[in-house]
Amino acid sequence: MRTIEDELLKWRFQRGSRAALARVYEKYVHALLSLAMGLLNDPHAAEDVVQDVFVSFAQGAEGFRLKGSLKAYLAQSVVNRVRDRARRQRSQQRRINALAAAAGSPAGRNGSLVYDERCERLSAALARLPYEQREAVVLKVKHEMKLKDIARLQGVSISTVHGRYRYGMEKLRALLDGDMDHER
Amino acid sequence: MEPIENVEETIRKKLHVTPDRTLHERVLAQVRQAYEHDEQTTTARWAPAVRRRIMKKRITQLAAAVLVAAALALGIVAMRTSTPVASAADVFNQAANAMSQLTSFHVRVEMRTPPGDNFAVIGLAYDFVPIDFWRQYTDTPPGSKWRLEEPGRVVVMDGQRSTMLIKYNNYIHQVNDLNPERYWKECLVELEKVMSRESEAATGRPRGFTVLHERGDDGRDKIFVTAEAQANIPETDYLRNKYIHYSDHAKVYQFDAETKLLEHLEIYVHDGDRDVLVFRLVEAEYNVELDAELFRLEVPEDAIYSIPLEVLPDNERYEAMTPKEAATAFFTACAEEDWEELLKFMGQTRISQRFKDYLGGLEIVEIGEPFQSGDYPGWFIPYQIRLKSGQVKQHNLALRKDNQANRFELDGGI
Repeated sequence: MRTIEDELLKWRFQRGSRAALARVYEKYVHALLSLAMGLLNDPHAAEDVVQDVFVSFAQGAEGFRLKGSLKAYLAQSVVNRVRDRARRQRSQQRRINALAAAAGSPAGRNGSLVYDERCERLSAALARLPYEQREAVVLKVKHEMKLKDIARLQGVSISTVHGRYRYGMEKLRALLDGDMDHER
Repeated sequence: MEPIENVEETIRKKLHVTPDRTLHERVLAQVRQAYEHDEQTTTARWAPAVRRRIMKKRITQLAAAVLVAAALALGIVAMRTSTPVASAADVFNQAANAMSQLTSFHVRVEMRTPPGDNFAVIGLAYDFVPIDFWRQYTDTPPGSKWRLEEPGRVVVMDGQRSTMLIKYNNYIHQVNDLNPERYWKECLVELEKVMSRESEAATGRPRGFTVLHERGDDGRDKIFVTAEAQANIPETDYLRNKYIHYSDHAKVYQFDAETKLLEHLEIYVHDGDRDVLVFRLVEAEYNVELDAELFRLEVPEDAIYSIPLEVLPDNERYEAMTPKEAATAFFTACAEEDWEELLKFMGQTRISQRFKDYLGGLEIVEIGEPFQSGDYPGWFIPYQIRLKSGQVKQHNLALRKDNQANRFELDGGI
């Protein structure tokens, strides 16, 4: 959704307002870190991705032209960087899954991110979903993105995204349920 | 197994990561560095004249930003027609004409104001409060009936007189003045007059206005007009940003291009580096059937009525008071719970129990030096008092003397 505040922020940022840049950071840093964490299950990698997104955003002030939603643009930047990380290691699919699996248990709370145990377990469960399903689930639920926007981002039809989302949620439900049974 | 909705809720609530301070500092430092680098190269790249022209006037930037923002946020797309663009003055004139044909209207706005205050005071940090205005035009004098209402206050003009009820203390103020702008001048009660005034301003100061024709989501053509204005008081003035006209601000009007009727209005106050939305028109209905009950006001049985201050046998003593002495006498009466004495500073039939409970037995900590602000005809007197509850309150008492008894009367600040 495009809000007047975001449209003003875009306009002011483009014209050199540091305050606008600071406000964009303040407004979206938590959401983007959570998104990156949900996609990567690796707090250090999530930090790097979000840092890259903001640095790149700041560098692009002059050429910045955005007609759509700022929130969606930043989310897409996170998604693109997550994919780039994987692409650098040859196969996108294999690499992201490998990243998530290698992370196993996230590096913990000795880094620069603060999160609780439930978030850690949820992130680990998300990491066990195929990447496209994970992306659909996190973008739709956590980032409130519409299926049609996710479809555009993933380059597939809305029904495909819907399927990915549905299968992802089913699997996640089973994983979390098992997790809870285990807890009991 | 958990329902899917619960899993969604878990993701929403539990997938939450917060950066600690070190990460904040690290990222912000890098962002700042990246930005400064970009800024240097940008400055070199831009033609200075263009940059100067664009950056010259903050209020122009604001108005343009607001215009673009409003247009984008409302999901409108540029019209592909080559319709000649009317001047802002023309647009407002046409709107004034359209609004002079109305038989009735209802507008709902939201404004950053205290919920029981005077329909005009604003605060950039206040929450939005809904304000409704209904107006029914009639064939018989005085030509209309109206009702203005916010959560804590309502004014009804029934065709003969206007009656205001302050709901929290059942305070009634009746006047023969039938003009709603007495209560809410800056906004939308006299739509036709508001448009005419803007038209005059746009004629005299066309550079302060911009016009944009667009097509809305509903497929209808829209006209956006921004009107920019600067406060006529110094930046440090007490009343600065406490009323719209005491602020640097931009108004963004949206009209239906065909009917010329106002559809939306947003007002942004420019405060330092922030543009704060303080007012938005959220609903406008024209020529609708209005319930006759809207224009009747039930007066509570235990109402307190406002009355003009009467000349006292010892009026001279009060007339001679300085603003500071009057404020001290006012709070002393509260401290001593001498309500008869207090009434000499308040033009009303009695003091409410709520008022007595709140201020009775207070202790004066300090009365400061009185000052004046904006075009307010009275004085503001800084004070600090300790209430019976132990709470220390610090504010400015507003006292004015332009009454028939020529002595200071409470006008706000409690």
